[in-house]
This record gives sequence, C-alpha cells and structure tokens, in this order.
Amino acid sequence: MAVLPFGRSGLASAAMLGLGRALGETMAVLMILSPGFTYSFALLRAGRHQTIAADIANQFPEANPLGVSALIAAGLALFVITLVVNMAARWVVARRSEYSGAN
Amino acid sequence: MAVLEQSTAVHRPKTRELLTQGDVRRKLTNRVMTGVVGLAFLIALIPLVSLSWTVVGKGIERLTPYFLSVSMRGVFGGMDAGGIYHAILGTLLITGVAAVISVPIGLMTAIYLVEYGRGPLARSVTFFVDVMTGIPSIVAGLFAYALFAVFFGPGVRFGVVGSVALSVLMIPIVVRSCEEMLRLVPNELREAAYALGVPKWLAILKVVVRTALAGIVTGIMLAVARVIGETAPLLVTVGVIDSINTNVFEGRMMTLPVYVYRQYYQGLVSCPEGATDCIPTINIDRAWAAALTLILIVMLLNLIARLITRYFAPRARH
Amino acid sequence: MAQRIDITDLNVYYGAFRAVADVTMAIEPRSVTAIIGPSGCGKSTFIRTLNRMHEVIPGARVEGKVAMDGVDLYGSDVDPVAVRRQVGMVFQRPNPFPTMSVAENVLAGIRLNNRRISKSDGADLVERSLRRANLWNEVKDRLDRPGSSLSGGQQQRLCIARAIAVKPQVLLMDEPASALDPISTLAIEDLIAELKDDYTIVIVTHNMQQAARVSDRTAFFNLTVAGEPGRLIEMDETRVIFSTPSEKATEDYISGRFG
Repeated sequence: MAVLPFGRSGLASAAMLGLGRALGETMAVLMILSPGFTYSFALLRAGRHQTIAADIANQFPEANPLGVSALIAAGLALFVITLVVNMAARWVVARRSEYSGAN
Repeated sequence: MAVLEQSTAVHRPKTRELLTQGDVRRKLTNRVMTGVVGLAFLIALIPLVSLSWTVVGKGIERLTPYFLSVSMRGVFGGMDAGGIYHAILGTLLITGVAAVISVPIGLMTAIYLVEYGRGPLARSVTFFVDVMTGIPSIVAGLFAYALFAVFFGPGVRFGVVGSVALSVLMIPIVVRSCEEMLRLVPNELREAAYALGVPKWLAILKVVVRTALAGIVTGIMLAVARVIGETAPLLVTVGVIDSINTNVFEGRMMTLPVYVYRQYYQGLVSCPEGATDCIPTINIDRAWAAALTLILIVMLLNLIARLITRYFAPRARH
Repeated sequence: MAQRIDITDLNVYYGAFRAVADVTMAIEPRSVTAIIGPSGCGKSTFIRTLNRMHEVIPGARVEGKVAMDGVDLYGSDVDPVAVRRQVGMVFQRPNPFPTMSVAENVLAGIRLNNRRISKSDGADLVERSLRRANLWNEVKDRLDRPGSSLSGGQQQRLCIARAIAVKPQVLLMDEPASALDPISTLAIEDLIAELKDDYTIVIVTHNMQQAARVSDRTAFFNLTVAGEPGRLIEMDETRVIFSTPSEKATEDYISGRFG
C-alpha cells in the first residue's frame, strides 16, 4: 500500500523502456525467427513474420544501392517508433515526478 | 462506586485482548504475498541460471589455449581447427576505440550539464541524450555506415566505422552515469575549493571529478559491457573476415559477437563417410566457446572496474 | 599582512530580491569582528560578499563598494579568484577534501592551483600551518591518513590550517563552531584569539556569548519583516554593544527578547 502506488509510474515507464529496447533487438530475432514476407496475428505459425531490425541485418550485406537506401529508410521508421515509445515512457515518469521520494 | 470498580475491572482484560488479538486474515495474506514475491524472484532467476549453465556447459569443451590463440585462416568444412584470436583482438580494438571516442565526449558533456549548464542549451542536450539512449543498435550501425559512405563511397567496411556505431550507443550511458556521480559530490567541497582561490575549471577537474572518479569509472565499464556484445551494428559496419587484422583504419575485422553469429549461421556440416578430421557440430561448438569467452571478458572488465573503484574511492574514516 | 576592509553602501541581491540593504561599516585590521543577528537577517549572505563567494550562486549580484586597503574588490579589473586567495573562508560544516590526506589538505590551496612547491617547503608549510591551527601535536604522526578520518573539531581546525596556508590577509568564518561540541568550540575560540595577531578576522555567529568572548568589535544585523532586506543596525566595540547598546533592537536581541 505504501510502496506500489508510488512506484506505479516507475513501473509503467520501466516496462515501456524495456519495450523500447526490445523493439531494437536484432540478433535474437534473426536467429530464431524463420522469416516470411507477410504479417499475421498467428504468432505460432512459422514463415509469416519478420521484424524491421532482423530484416535489415539479414539483407544489408548483399543489398544493391537501392536496397541499401530502402533498408536505411526502414531503419528510420524503426527509430521513430522507438523514439515515440521512449518519449511516452519519460512523459509518464515526468508527470508524477513531483510525487516521487527522490530529490 | 460499584459501577466504577466494575468498569475498571472490565478495561484491563480488554486492553490485553486488543494487544494480543491476531488478525488471522492479515497474517495469512502476508505469508501468501511473501511466497508469491519469492516465487516471482525465483522465476526471474531461471533464465539467468539456465543461460549460465548452458553456456558454460556447452562452451567449456572447446575453450582451450589453442582456441584462444589462432584465427580461422584456412579453416573450412568440418575441420577440427580454428580459433577466435582474431575475433578477440577485433573486439578489444574496436571497443577500445569506441571508448576513446565516447569517454571524453560523454564525460565533458556530463561536466557541462552539472557544473555549467543552466539555460536552453542544457535542456536540449539533456533531451538529445535521452533520445540517444533509445536508439536501436542496428540503427546506430546504419548511421555509422551512411556517415562513412558519404566520404568513402558505398561498401566501406573498416574498424573505426564500427567504433563510431558503438560510441553512439555508449555516449548516452556515459553521460547519464557520469552526471549522476558528479551530482553526488557535495556542494561544500566545491565551495571549499573556490574559497581557497581555485579557479572553477581547476576546482572541477581536481576536486569534483577526482571525488567522483570511482563512480565515473564504474559508469564507463558499464557502458563498455553494454556495447561489447553488440552484434547487429558490427555486422553491417565491420563485416566478417577469417584472418587477423590489427588495423582499425583499413579492412574488415572480426569481432566476437559477429563470430558467434557467423558460426551459428554456418550450422551443421555434412561430413562424408569415414572422414577422420570432420566434426559435424564444429561450428556450433565454436560458437558456444566464443560466447563463453565473451561472457568471461565482460566479467573480467567488471572485476577490473571494482578494483579501480576500491583504489580511487574517497577514503572513509578508519 | 592583515588589511582593513571598508564597506560602503553595500546592497546584496539574489536576482531581483534584495537580501541585505545599505551596509556601511569598517573592519579594523588585526582584530576580530563578530556579526550577530537573528536567523535570516543576511549575516551569511553579507560575509560571502567579502570574498566574492556570493556571486557563485547563479543570479546573485552586489551593488556598492567593498574596499580592501583602498582597492575595490568589485572593481572591473579585479579577478574574483585572486580576491579569494587574499580573503580566506572557513565554513560552518568542516569540509576537508575526502580524497586527500591531512598533509595534502593543508597544501590544497597551493596544489589545486597547479603551483609548484618543493617537498621540503611543503613539509615546512604543513607543519607551520598545523601548529598555527593548534592541530600539529594531534596529527603529526597521522599526516598521511585521510582528511576525513579526524574528529569534527580536528577537521575544522584542519580547514583553518588549510585556509591560512595560502597566507590570506583576511579570514572569514561562517559559524565555524556551530557544528562542534563544546570542547572543540573552546579550542576554536582560543585559536581565534591567537590568530588575530596576524589576520583580520570576521566571524559570523548566532551564539551571542561566543561573540562576547571572542571579538573586539561587534556588528548587529536585523530583519524587521520577512521579505524585507536585512540591515546593519549597530556596530561598536563589543563591550559597548553588550552593556550599553544605542539601539533598542540591539538591546532586545542581546537580552533575548527575540531571535
């Protein structure tokens, strides 16, 4: 009753920051996921999913100049998504910052 | 009078009741929650324990002095040969250069934010450092690649490009932790230095930074530990190579995490019948051993950081 | 060595807020001047303007003249860092540098300024400063131990040794004994009585009896209403202030009717 309510915003922001970090995770996804060309909500079926980061890592070494540009554009999209998630997390903390025990 | 006596006689047992009465429900909830929290902790511990067990178990077999001292030059197929010397060298060199880039920048930014920054510049610097903490590692790699491609043309791959990518990831960590450590230095030490007629920059250098040095070193080591395992940016900026390259300004270099990925990617080898020098799982074995080496290097760095901290820490009263 | 300080029409501001107003006073050389007054009357703010420590706070400024030996410390060609070398300061809470030994702390004023001093000169200076601060006998075989390993009273005397090692003209003390036990307080007061032969000393204290014991002249600052600036009400020889003060406010404060 004394600890968790005060930690609420911190919990939320920690979860979102973790999400932000996971959004950029490349190698684990690259090694585990069998890539596909579509998207699907059926998470347990193989060959239907891909993430931006894994896609870039997969195709970059053999890409032609146009492909490189396309991949960098995809990287920009990933950056913007991660940025939005991180900013939202910090906003959640900043809103309640005057109630925190620190400083 | 009789009423008075009666009421005091009733009060005494009542106090005793109030004090000794156990709230059974509360005690039960307490015990259950303690159990739940403990269980959650154990569950959180499972991935760590499982990971350590697996890596040590699978990697220790191949981890020999031979493995640590040769490169992959001339090794192909299922040959029982090859090592990670070139990868260790590459990791240390590239991470070292990344630290050389990011530590001065990060430390000086932190000093600015704590000692000098007051206005809009400080606010925007803090904002951008926050933005940088969230950059996905692959994007940092793409940035470094694109930057050098402007000057050197497409297809550029050499060590410093990887170092730049890693320093983009390191700088915000260094800035944040140095900032915390500098803020912890009590203001009265700064005042003591000023009152002795010491100019501000000397006071910062010789008193503030010196007092916070232990924490600063720890922060730097944490940043190094974070980037030393980055695979994706190094894959796109430094590439792969099988032989030793000690020149960070020219040519590809192999790094430990990229090595692990590469070996895994090559997968199982189909050995011809009756071949003697052919191990089907050789690539996977090498990958595990390299992963174990990487973890051990990070542990070594942490240990060094602790020793440095102990040496430089402000000595307390004995 | 010790100089006189003449303060003329001093007004001290934190941004737009005026904390101390219209102070005009003279501090005699080789004497101890005590500044007394209730909390919040601007004593610490005032004393910090004498060595230009006040302006370290962002937005803080000063109007008026503070002249040491005729030279205005706030003149446009005067370097604040040089002022602080001539006017030393000892703070309320002892603040020896924790990463330095006792000897290194004493020499800090020289070492931190990147000035060279030979080992033998350094050792001489350490001994002389510690003797002058009445600390030598207690720490002479502990010179390499960390500065923070001493007791509170010893740490404060170490800070005094550190301040006098740079040979200032004036020594400012902002409530130097308020964080110490009575025995250490007595040691500091005895020290002040000895030091005044060589230095001009200005001491802020909220302890009136200490002011009466230690000082030659006393200045009484007061605050009429919260939000108004503090002012110098009366300044005179100590025995006059504490026996027959001219202002009623002074007499009320001395006899404990407020503050």
